[in-house]
Amino acid sequence: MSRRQQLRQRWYSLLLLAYPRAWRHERGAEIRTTLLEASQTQPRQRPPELRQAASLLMGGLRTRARMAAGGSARRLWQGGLQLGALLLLIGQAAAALHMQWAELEWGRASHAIFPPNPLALLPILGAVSVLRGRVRSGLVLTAMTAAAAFSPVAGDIGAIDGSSLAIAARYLLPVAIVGPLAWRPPPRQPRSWLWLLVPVLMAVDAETSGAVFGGIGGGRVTWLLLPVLLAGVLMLVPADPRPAIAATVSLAPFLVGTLDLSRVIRQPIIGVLLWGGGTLALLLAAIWGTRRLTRA
Amino acid sequence: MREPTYFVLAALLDGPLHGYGIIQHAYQLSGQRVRLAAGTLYEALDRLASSGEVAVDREETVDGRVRRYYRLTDMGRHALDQEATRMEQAARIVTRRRGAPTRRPSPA
Repeated sequence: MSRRQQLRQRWYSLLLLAYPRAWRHERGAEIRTTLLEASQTQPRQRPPELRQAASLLMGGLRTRARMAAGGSARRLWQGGLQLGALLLLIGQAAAALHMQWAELEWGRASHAIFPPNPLALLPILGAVSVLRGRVRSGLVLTAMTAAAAFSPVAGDIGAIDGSSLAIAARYLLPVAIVGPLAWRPPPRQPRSWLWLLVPVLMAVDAETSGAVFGGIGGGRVTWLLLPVLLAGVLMLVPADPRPAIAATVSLAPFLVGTLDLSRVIRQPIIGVLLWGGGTLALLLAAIWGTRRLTRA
Repeated sequence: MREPTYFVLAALLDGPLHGYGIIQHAYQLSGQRVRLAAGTLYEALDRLASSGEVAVDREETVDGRVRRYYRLTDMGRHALDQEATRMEQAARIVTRRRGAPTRRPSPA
């Protein structure tokens, strides 16, 4: 095999990572043969590499979603909701980390000692449990986190921003989602440990941005990345609606908070429209994507 | 039925083909219009195999490369026939009227 062909083969193997591991194991060699033959036999007529790459990426993501759903819209939504709950829990973990960090800094600046709050571990452990597919222990920890968020004696675990209704939505929504999932039969696929980098980076971002109110647990960079991520999620909808379902869930508390605050303080109408319109657009996109994917 | 799926089935009408064979045959059958990318092809094959419209015929290894041949099942042939008939009828609605004089709207 020439060096050029070897490079091509490596490039195709990289693109095939978009497909689920089981699928790659069964069909990877076959699809690589097809790709190599297509690139060799008709060099002028070949589909451009970019088109081939886009097709493999979208095909891989769609295959992942199809295999996860098994032809059922319900299972697809369960996956999306679980991911949404995980995103909210990651936000909680980031807020808890940031809060502990900030208190350490305040203590250092004022020569006072703020002992770390052990309850701040609850959201972190809850996020880890759900991340690793341990939904039942995740449910217990998530419920304990929600109780701690509202308890006047539990101390700060990061839930200091927004209206009480927004905080309720942020802490109770994961309980409401994880609860029914805990009694669903397995398999509940664990996700990669790399996800844990997200709350850590968000906490670093919050601390370096000087964010007082945790918001989504992050700071300036998190907020700047949010529209980019949401645009990406919308682009992915034809291949996999689960990220759109997850984004709808994770944005819902902010919509609730904005609407709740608008009863007390006059909120800029553009903000209400953006949160409301954005959440609705994601929800509609998720419904459309589900119908498209589960259609024969 | 989507166009790529239609041409995948049509390509298999003449006998079992492997992945790249299907791409080539679909390209020729469509008058060099439909160029199936690998992702699209395998997505269609997965869908058609799960609905029983195509099946794996055999596998062979040539020069260390794995080739899997697919064949059309009776169900696939029937689905293709139905789709072709539907498109023929839809096309006839237009082609039959092509020569007919255009009706002018009557004055109010």
